[in-house]
Formats: sequence, structure tokens, C-alpha cells
Amino acid sequence: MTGSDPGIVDIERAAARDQAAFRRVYLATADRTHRLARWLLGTSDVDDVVQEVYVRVWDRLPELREPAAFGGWLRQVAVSVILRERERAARRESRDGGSRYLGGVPDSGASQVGLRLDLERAIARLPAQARQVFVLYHVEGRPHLEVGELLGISHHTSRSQLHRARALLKAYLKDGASNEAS
Amino acid sequence: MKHPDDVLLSAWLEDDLDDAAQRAWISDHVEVCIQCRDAVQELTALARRAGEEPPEWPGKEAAWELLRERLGGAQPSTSPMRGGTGRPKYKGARWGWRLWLPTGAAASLAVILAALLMRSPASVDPSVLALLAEDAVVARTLESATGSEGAAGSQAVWSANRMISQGVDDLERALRARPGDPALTMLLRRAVEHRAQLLTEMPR
Repeated sequence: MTGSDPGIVDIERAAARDQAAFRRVYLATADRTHRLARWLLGTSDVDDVVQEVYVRVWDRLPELREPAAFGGWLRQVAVSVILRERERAARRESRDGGSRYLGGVPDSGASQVGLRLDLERAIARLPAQARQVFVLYHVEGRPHLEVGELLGISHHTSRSQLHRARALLKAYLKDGASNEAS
Repeated sequence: MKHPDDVLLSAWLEDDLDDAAQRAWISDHVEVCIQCRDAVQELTALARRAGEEPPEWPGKEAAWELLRERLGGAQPSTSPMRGGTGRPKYKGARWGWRLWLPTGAAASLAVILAALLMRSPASVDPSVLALLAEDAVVARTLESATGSEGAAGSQAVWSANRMISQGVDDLERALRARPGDPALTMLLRRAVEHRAQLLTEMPR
């Protein structure tokens, strides 16, 4: 199962504190949320962050007044939690000198000869800000003004980072195709 | 021949270039340069690929067990449920390049309609909204304006995608102001479906 839109009945039941229904909602949406966290944070070690997202969703679901709007609402909650984690990670990084997140480094074998450099790996290679802009704009459909607000940058920077991300992705994918062919 | 680089082509696709002469140069160039047309297609395809369904997260069942412990021992509610079978799934019909552009434009119309509703809720008849949102009506209306292919078509796709995303945001805001409004709910569903469709139907 790769996930699908959860049913409105399950969303309503989950809002009424039905854990079995919430499990179905979770299973229907977890793949997408996990990918969003992975892409925004640039690491595969995001399970804890995804758990935080769904704890927040569970807590706030009774406030959702229109179940049909659940998809957009979930994305808003997810982006909010993930970006908050990104800020915490950045603070940890500056304090400890670590690089758990935000490195823009592929998490697994991006340069291994013979492996296909797919979009996921290409996105992992992007510099952090370009990656975050690309994901928020293209995957989340946020306009540049909002992307800028979320990331603390101007909308002009958001635009330029988007174009940089696209150009880099195109180049990375071409590299991957060349490696695959050789 | 001098070619625009990928950053410039990307900005041209998004209509982000302030310099009119530069815009015109790229438009003219892309018309005659196969290499740059291919580059435009590749850049366009990135959005489609980013919007594809994600792979399965293998750890989600195990993660649920941990999550369940954090949720506490809440019991199912016995309150009566409203009717409904969930959000309709996209049928997945593969449309041609010339047909899905009007569909994207249909969702763009939803933006305008949502804005109308937000400004003057009483002035728009929901049945008119429902009619206008019908794909066939909008497609016929816009068919003549959306026959472009190649680079111009790609640019139209980017514009439609941007407008649909804005429309989804506007509709969600409108729904917060008017919870449960059936016309808004329908338009939101359509806009979300159209956005997914636009991304999945982009030419490769």
C-alpha cells in the first residue's frame, strides 16, 4: 500500500477519538508525510519527526471543521512541525558542530557507480535552501510569498533558489543517467 | 549560437524575468533551438516527477505502534457519523496535451470564483458555481485558447499549476470562513484533483 486519500468517515471518526480510524488515516497518508519530511530535512532519519506530525494531527483533529479539507490541513500541520524541527536541528548543529540535518548531502550512496541517480537522490544532493524551496513550491504548492515566510527569506530569494534547484536537479539527473549508461 | 542556461530557462518558464528583451529573446530562441526546447521539457518534467506518488515507507507499521503508545487510550466515539464515502479518487483517464490544459484552466477559474465568494458571498448562486466548475463547459470555453504545444504549452502548464495551487489555498481559506459550504467543498475537491491531474498528465 503506497497510500491514498483517507475517507471522510475515517477522518470524522478519528476526530471523535477513534484510534482505529486514525490508524487508517495515518496509513493512508504516512508515505507522503514521510517523503515530505525526508525531502525538507534532507535525511532519511525522519521517523521521529513524522511521529511528531501525527501526534499534533491527533491533538488538533477535533478542531478541523471541514473533513474535506483534511489533505491541505495535514500538509500545513506537517510543514509547520517539520520546519520547526529544522530550526531546532539548526540550533543543535550550531551548538554541537554536528550535521545531522541540513547538510544537503545524499544520505545513501548518491555517487555509487552503477546506481541510478533518481529524483529522490538528486533532491537530497541539493543545497538545503534550494531543496526546501523546491519541495514547498512544487510538492506542497505554496506560493513564493508563503515559501519565503516559512523559510525566513524574501520571495525574490525563493524564486532564485527555485530556479537554481531546477537547474541543479536537471544536471544531477543527467549525471545519473550518464553513470547508469556507462 | 548563444543559449540561455537552465536557470534562465526556468525563470522564463515561470515568467519571472523582468527584462522584456530577455524574455523575448528566450521565447524566440526556444522556438528555433531543439536543444533548448528539450531543456524546457526536462525542467517541466521535474514538477511532474516531484508530484508523483511517493514510494511506500516500509517502517510505517512499526512507527504506528510507537505512535499509538503516545496517543493514549482514547476510545472510539459513539456519536452518529455523517454520510459519505470519502474523497472521490481520481479516475486516472489519460488525457492528451490539448485536453488537460483546459482542465487546468478550469481549476484556475475556481480561484476567481472563490475570490468572488469571499468578497460577496450572497451574490453568487451556488448552482451557477457548480455549472461553471463542470469540466466540459470550461473546456469548451477555453479550448480555442489552449492549443499551444511545446515550450509555449509548458509555460501554460506552469501558469496553470501556479494558479491552481493559489486556488486551493483560497478555497481552503473560504471554507474556513464558510464551513461545510457544498459549492466550496466541491470546488476544492475539483481544484485538488485538477492539480494532481495536471502534474500526473504532463507530457514526458
